[in-house]
Order: sequence, then C-alpha cells, then structure tokens
Amino acid sequence: MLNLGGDKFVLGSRRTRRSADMRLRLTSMIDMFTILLVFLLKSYSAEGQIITVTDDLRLPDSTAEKPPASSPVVIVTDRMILLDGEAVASIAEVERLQKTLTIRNLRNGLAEKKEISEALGRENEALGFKGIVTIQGDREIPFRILKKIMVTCGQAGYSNILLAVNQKE
Amino acid sequence: MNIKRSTGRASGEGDDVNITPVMNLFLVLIPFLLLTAEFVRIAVLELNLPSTAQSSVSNKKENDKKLIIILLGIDDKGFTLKVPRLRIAPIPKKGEQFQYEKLAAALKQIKGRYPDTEEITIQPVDEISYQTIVNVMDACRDNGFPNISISG
Repeated sequence: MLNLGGDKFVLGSRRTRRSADMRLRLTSMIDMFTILLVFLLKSYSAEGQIITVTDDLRLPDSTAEKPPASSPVVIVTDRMILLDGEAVASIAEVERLQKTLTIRNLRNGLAEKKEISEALGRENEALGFKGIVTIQGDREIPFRILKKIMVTCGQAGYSNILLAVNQKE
Repeated sequence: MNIKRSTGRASGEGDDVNITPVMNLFLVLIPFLLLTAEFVRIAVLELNLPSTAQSSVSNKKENDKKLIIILLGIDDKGFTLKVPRLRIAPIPKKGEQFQYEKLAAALKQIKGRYPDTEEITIQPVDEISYQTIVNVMDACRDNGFPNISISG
C-alpha cells in the first residue's frame, strides 16, 4: 500500500515535471499546413465560379484553357435541353422531329435573351449583345442533337459558341 | 556567429521560435481557401459556326487568294482528311477506339505542307458522341489549327 502510494507519487511528480518542459511537436503539422496552403493558394481564383454543373451532367474532358465567360447557358443532358435553368425541350421530342433542325422553344428563348441584352446595350455599352452562348453538354450526347442546338443558336443570332469542358491536366 | 551558435544551442534545448502567429495565420487562411477552392476546373472551347466561318472565309479570300480548306470527317469507321493537293490515307478505328495519335501525326504533316493555314472544318456524322468531337478539336488545336468550324 505504502509502496504503491509512493510509486504513484513518484510517477505523478515525474509527469508534472515532464509536462512543464514538454512541447507540442508541431513541425509535421506545420509542414502539412504549408503544403496545403501553397496548393490552395495556387488553385485560388478571385473570380469564383461562373459556371456550375449539375451532378448528372458529365462534361467532356479537354485540354482547353480558356476560362468561361458569362453568357446564356444551354444545358444538354441525356433527357432534357435547358436554357439558363429552364427546360425548353426534351431530347425525345427533338429526336422525334428528325427533319427539322431548329428547336423552336430554344430559339424563342434565345431571341428573348437577345432582346433583353440589346435593350441593356442601349443603356450601357459594356452590357451589349455579343452573341456568345455557352453549351454545357453531356459527353455522351450524339452529334445530331448537338447539331440542332448549334443551328438553333446560330439562327437566334448567337454565333459565338463556347463549349464547356472539364479541364484535364 | 556568436548569436547563431547561442540560438542554435537554445533551440536544441527545446526553446524555439514562437510559431503562434504562424498557426493563427494558417488557421484563418486554410479554411477560407478550402471553402473557395474549385476542384473541378471548367474551361471553354471556342467554336465557329459554319455560317460565320463562311463569311470570314469570303472576307479573307479578298485579302489573300491562297485559302486552303481542310476537311476532317469523323464517322463510325474513323477519320478521313481532305486536303487540297495532298493525299492523306483515312485513319481507321482500332477496335472501338479512334486513333488520335495518328490523327495528330497527319495534322502535323498537313501543317508542314500549309504552315499558314489555321482553319479546319470538322464534319462528324450523326452518331459521333460529343466527347469524340471534343477530343478531335483538342487534336486540331494542339497541332496548329486553332480556328475550328463544325459542319453537319
């Protein structure tokens, strides 16, 4: 009993003495933080994201490096075609009308956007109509769908087409 | 010299630099940067519609007469290249895969023949997937043809 108590006392005193001059070893944590910081600063962009992609849309991979511009966005999934988040046509419908190259709802929607941006352009030069449209297409969509969308954009006056892609290293 | 040695000895004893401000900085910066980090980078490929390409072609024709139109067809058998006064053998698929390396080599050969030409027209058939078209556009851009148009 007495012996045990003595042991405990000795242990305790040793512990307190050790903690008095023990330091947290932070070197490895600082190493890690430094690496993280460098990596994050390198990948930092001040503009933020102009384009966000929904989960079910898999953009094609490309080596392109041009950053996206703000413009109307046509999203083409394997089921729907959307213009700035609003559904304008379904793929099944577009497939059914094999002969017609124009997607009417999409053209009307784009024409509206063109009018709005032209009206804005009369107020402020910088906001004017530039004819830029971004296409976010799933990597699996066939060219016959893409062709119709491009033709429709061209007819609506949007002749500068930007294709959104995943940037690969 | 003296000072250096003395600090060296001191740090050997465990009496080192005050890293608290550094840790504070890290603790603020790292969460902030992690929140704003983008892990999927999105870029864009520029594309000329055939209609606008045609008008720019006619404009350029007036400027210089030596305009060369290069056509690159993609179908379910592979790539075909149509270049004036140059015969390029079709590049067939290897199994299910398109042979992008051979396409790149052929494009380099064309670039060697017509170093001033930057325009190329891609003609895919209806069934070609978007990813394939983008891959071909990449091959064209990497081998000196940045002005790409697509025609159906």
